[in-house]
Amino acid sequence: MGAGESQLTFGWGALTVIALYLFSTIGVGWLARRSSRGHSLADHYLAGRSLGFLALFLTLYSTQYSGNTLFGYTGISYRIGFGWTASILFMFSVITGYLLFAPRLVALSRKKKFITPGDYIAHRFGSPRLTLLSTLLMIYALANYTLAQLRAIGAAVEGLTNGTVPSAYGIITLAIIMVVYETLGGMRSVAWTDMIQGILLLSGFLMLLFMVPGLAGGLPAVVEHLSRIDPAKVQVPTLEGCMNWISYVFLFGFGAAIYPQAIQRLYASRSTRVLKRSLALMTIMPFTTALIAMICGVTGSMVLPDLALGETDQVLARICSLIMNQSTEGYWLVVLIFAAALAALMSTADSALLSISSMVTKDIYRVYFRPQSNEAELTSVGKWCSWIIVTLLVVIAIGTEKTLIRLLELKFEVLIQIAPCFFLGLYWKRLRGDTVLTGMLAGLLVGLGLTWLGYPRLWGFHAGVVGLLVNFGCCLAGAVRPIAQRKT
Amino acid sequence: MHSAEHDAQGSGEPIREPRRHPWLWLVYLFLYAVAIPWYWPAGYRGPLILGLPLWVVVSLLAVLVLAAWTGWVISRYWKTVGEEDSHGGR
Repeated sequence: MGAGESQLTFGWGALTVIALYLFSTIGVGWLARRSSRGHSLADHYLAGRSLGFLALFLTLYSTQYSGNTLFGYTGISYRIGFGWTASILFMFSVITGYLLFAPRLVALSRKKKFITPGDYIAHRFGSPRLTLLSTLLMIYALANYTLAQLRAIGAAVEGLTNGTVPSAYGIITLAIIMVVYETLGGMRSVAWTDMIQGILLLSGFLMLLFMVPGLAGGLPAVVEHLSRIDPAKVQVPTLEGCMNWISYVFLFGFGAAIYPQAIQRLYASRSTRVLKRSLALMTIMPFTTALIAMICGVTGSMVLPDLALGETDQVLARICSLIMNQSTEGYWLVVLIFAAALAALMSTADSALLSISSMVTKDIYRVYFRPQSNEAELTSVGKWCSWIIVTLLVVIAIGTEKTLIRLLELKFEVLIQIAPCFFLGLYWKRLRGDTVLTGMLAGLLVGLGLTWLGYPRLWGFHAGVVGLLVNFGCCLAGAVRPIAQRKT
Repeated sequence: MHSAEHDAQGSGEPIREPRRHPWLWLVYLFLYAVAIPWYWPAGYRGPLILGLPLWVVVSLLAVLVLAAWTGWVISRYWKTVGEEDSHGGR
């Protein structure tokens, strides 16, 4: 069956259900606004540091597992097969990354009342230049991340409708809804909508697991079929492929763990106990998401064998079209999966947007433009920032052409260079701001330089990871030099 | 400028944290080494278990053990002063 034979047309019933779900998020935003306690930055950006276990776990889950997990990961599994088992490992590695710095950062954030990651960097290193560069890099990476979500929204809508509905319509509608509920209740809105979205996402993934392999006669049939026509998709990766797995572990273990929105969730937990329980449960979530996405992508390579490279990120949407055309039950299940897809995209994008808004307001506007501003003014500015940022990103998202997974990697190349601030800075007393700044610049130069020169990977290692190695080397040399000088 | 460093290293420090116990990380290293399929012969697929190639199942089991290990590490090796306390948000 060719990809072009499937056609999706949601009826009024399905459209009403999806519209109800989308507008319910605005209702949640309104409720969150009513529950807010004043206009402080901590209340708007960290929900008053009051997130309990369920809210924290579900917001961590739905923020970490994004539209890329659904669409990008099924797309790459379609292209490379079981080699993407790497995704289960590297999504897990994020939690390992937290264990290397979170215990100390959380304790410090409780004492010093941090709002943004920049607050920690300014406090620890006392270097305005380092704080500014780190903040700009985080904003860039998050903007890129949000962009990937917006583009995935476009891919979802376009794929599910076989191009009948242009992607721009989906992008604009979802972006407006997101920014409305975010403006209403800040982190409280985002966390509460994340709870709904997390449950929807989990349900959607489980539905996919039960439905998709059946399209090809079961997983064993898929594997046997691929063994005959494209054995590389079921065989163990090459040595360079294994290097790539290691690189991904570093990329996510160091990069995803220091996402500003992830760090702000560490700050926002009600207690350390709540945070520990949430992180412990997060360790098994790759099995409920990345693994299922891989199974869907691999199945897609059998049932939709002729997708062009640029269409592979739409494989899940095309599979959904096949399911819904089979039966009434299939139709409604796809409605659920579609809602889950929107939930995945929105829950990640809204968290990233809120984080960008907090950094622009607290680390840039307050420091460089209005040092005398009070918290109510900053909160108000933050809300305006969200609208301006989302407008810019929507314009860019509608006008760019790249596969989702490439967008995902490019943001890490930049973000990962901030890792030494947290992984080393919290533990090395003698690490100074100028040393970290030098390492960061060297890492960026190497990471971006290699990418621009046409070497996004060296022996399977991402350019950003190679840059991080240089970055760590600079920090190590800078921290060891004073000892060597004292001895001589 | 470095008065801040004192705070980062001094007060607010957890009583017990995973990073201070190197042997925990040796176990992590071993489990990650099992999860990454570098040790199979080139081009290997193996028999199917629950519909998945053997090497995939071994990698997934290793991640499952990593998850269980991490749960244990968090519960036993991450302790901070007054961790039951609220952040003061209420």
